[in-house]
Amino acid sequence: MIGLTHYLVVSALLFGIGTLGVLVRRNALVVFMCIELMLNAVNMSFIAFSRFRGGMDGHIVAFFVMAVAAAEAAVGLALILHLFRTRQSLNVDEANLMRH
Amino acid sequence: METQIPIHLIVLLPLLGAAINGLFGRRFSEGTIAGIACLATFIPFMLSVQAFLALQGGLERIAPAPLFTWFASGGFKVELGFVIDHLTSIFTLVVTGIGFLIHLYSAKYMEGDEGFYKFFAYLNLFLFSMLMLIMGENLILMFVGWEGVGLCSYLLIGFWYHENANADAGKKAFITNRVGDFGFLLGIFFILYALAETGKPLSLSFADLQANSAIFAGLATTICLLLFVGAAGKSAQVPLYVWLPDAMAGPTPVSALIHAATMVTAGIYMVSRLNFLFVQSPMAMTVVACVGAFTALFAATMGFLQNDIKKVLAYSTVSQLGYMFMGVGVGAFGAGLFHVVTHAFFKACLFLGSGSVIYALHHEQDIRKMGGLFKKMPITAWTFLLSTMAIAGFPLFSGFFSKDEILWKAFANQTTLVPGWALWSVGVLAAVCTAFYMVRVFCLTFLGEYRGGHDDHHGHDSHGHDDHHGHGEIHETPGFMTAPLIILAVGAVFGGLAGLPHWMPGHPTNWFEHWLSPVFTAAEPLKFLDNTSLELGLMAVSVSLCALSAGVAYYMYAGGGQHLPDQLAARMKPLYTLVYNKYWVDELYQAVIVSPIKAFSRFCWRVIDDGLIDGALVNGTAGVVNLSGRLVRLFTSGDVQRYATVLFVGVWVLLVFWLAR
Amino acid sequence: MEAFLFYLFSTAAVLSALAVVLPPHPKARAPIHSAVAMVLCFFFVAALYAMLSAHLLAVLQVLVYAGAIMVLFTFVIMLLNLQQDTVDKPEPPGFFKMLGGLMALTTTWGLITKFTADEFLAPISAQLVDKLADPLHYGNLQDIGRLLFSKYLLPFELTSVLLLTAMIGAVIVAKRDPKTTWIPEAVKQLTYRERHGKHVEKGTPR
Repeated sequence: MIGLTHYLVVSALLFGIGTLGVLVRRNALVVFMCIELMLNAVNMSFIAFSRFRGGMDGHIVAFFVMAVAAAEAAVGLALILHLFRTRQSLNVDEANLMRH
Repeated sequence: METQIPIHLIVLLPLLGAAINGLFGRRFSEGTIAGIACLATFIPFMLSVQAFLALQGGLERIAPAPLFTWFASGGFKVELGFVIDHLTSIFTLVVTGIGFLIHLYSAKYMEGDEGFYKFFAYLNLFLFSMLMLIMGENLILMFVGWEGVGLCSYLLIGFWYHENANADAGKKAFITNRVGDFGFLLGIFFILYALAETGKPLSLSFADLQANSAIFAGLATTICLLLFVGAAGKSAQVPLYVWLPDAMAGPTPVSALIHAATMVTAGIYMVSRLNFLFVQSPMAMTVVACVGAFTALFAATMGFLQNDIKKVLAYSTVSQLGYMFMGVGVGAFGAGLFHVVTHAFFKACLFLGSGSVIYALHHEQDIRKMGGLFKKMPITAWTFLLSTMAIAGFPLFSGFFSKDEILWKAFANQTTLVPGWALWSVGVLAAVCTAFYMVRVFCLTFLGEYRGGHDDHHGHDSHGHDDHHGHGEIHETPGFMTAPLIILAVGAVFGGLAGLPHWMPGHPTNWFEHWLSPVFTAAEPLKFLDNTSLELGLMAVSVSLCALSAGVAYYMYAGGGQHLPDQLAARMKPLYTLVYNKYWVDELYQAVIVSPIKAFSRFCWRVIDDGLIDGALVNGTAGVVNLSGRLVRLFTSGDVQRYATVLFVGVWVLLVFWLAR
Repeated sequence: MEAFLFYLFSTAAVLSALAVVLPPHPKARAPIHSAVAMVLCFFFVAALYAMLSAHLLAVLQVLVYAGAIMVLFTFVIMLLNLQQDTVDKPEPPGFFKMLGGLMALTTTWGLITKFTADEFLAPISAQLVDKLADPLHYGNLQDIGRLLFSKYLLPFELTSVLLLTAMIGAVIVAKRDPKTTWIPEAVKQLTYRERHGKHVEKGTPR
């Protein structure tokens, strides 16, 4: 009854919300969090497919995704720290020194 | 038959001399430079003599194997080979012999010039090119030599390049020659076309061309006319003669060698060498003869009123070249070529003599400022006198024999489409004029009172030369310069012996013509009248007219009638102005040809090069790149989220494509 | 039962995700609120994993994502002492933000439409199973471990290198450059004694 499609819909919703956050929010930390949200949505999709096809490979992929996400979070947060130290603000709209 | 004479050395030794002097001459002493150059000329002369003697002994030609194949492309092969046959042997003797004399002369004349080594390098280079021209075994090598002498002419005319006028003269010579060369090239192309059409192998060697000469029958007129355009350029015939008078801006030895004795005769050589083509087209021969005759008269009239001694001689050269073309144009190749040889002697002597005068007078060239030099420069004066008599056709001198031979053959010819007597009349008229202006020059230069005063007027020949003599003390020039004069004068007087005509007692055949007969087998069918008494009668007419003209000239310029020139000038003002300004031919060319080309060039420069290529294409491209860069830069807002959005646009498009499937 | 649980957890997950992105209350706009909402979302997603018999991954989700990554986020928020969202008054969204929002929405809608279409799963419908072949052993640690050390050994090893690199990188990037570093008040307060020695004058804030 609750089939693959249902889980895929949930995954799509989460992904869309995450995208929205990445493109719209102004706080760098929130943008980062939304990226994690997108990764989660993808994880969900992998696991759902894996379950409904009977294999375990999707789990492994999700496992690796988590590991990478963790690494990425560490480095990214360090960068955000740095950004804040030099500009006293996390507003991505203001961080435009690279403009011509 | 095998022969051991290394004739290719004749061509290559001058090249070696030019290379040595050109590359290292700056460090040599003047003596060394001159010595190398003269040696590089003398040895070829000796070899030429040797070759001549070998040919006299019965050989028809000396044709060693070619040195190497220059290039072979498809069926077209050009080999670097040299040939000396009877025709070439005469030319090599003249070129190397007179060349050597002029080298000696220049050793003294150019003394002290800062470009001494360059001068001799160029002279040797010229000899190399000229010898390549006359000894080349195919048409392409001849053309290489043709271009080479044109180049050397340019280099030598503009030798004292610090004066704009000299450089301009050099350019004028080269460019006018180029126009002729264009015709020459077209002629070569037509020859190749004819060869290709009939399936013959594409070989431009003279031997092969003569063997195949029959196939050119249809195109002969076109080919010959085009080739004659080239000859007209090189040998200064109307309308391409304008460079020769200006070429007098070069040092006098150059004028003597190149523009009297050798380079300008290249056109005659070419016509003679290709006689088997020309005899196939009576139309072409008529054109050659008529142009020659017209030029002879036209240039002779201009000689009447020129006041620069070298310019008079220049116009005289143009005129005499006209005679030569008249000779070959009516099929009298022997006569025309004989005149080449005699002319080489007396014209070179005249030029060197004028150089001697100029040297002695500290570069004065205006004959109105000369006079009374006979006693002060006896050798120069006597040699000049003898050569003047030769050119005027004084009986038994060399010029007499060669010129009258041409006149008779012109009258007697049955080939040209224009009646022979018409050509004869023009020729006689030109001879009369020649006698007149040459005597005029002689009288004004050597006779009477010295009119030069003590002003230091520098003529065109100016360079640092004047501290050699004291002012006002005119004396004969040094031995190096007078010795060649003497030798040449001897040739001018006695040269006629080589070509004594058949009517002289005890002389049934003209030796010169007989010597050249193997080369002109194709011209044997040409017919001439055979009437010795008519011949002698016409000769008497022309000689007496010339004598009369010479007498009048003497009277007007050295005798009692010295008021006459100015009186006549005043009476015939329009005619006088016309001739004095050389019929405004130069001005005509300037307006009709040069100015439009200059205007067009300026257009190409300003509009096309500066405006279009530089402005629109190069700068324009840069501008476009700049602009588009500025445009794209508008996208770099520095805003990360904006970048992410744009990134996502791409993803979104892909998604749309996928979702829509 | 299963349907009810599914709908419960999925709705909760989506709503808390929304709370991360679109703060529901004007007073709840600070990043800390987003962080908390995020943690909540992860919990519900873990529940969904459990429903999919991915037992290990459900636990890992809580341990790693909610327990490590979000904690890291919270540390940073605390460290930087961010009180509220970074601007005093919200600026009206510019063109690109509108465009971004629009694209996100249309993407979501498009994806959902696609997934729910009948022919989407048609190519693999033969391979789909509703009931697991081995429900007891599916999704547990032993099988995942077995796979990791056989079929996916190389990525496994590479991931360890990646983690090492990330550690080093994070440490270096986060190091303080004394000249330009702005030290937040909290840190200054906590490290005052360290930086200025044990003797503290009277009246100086400690």
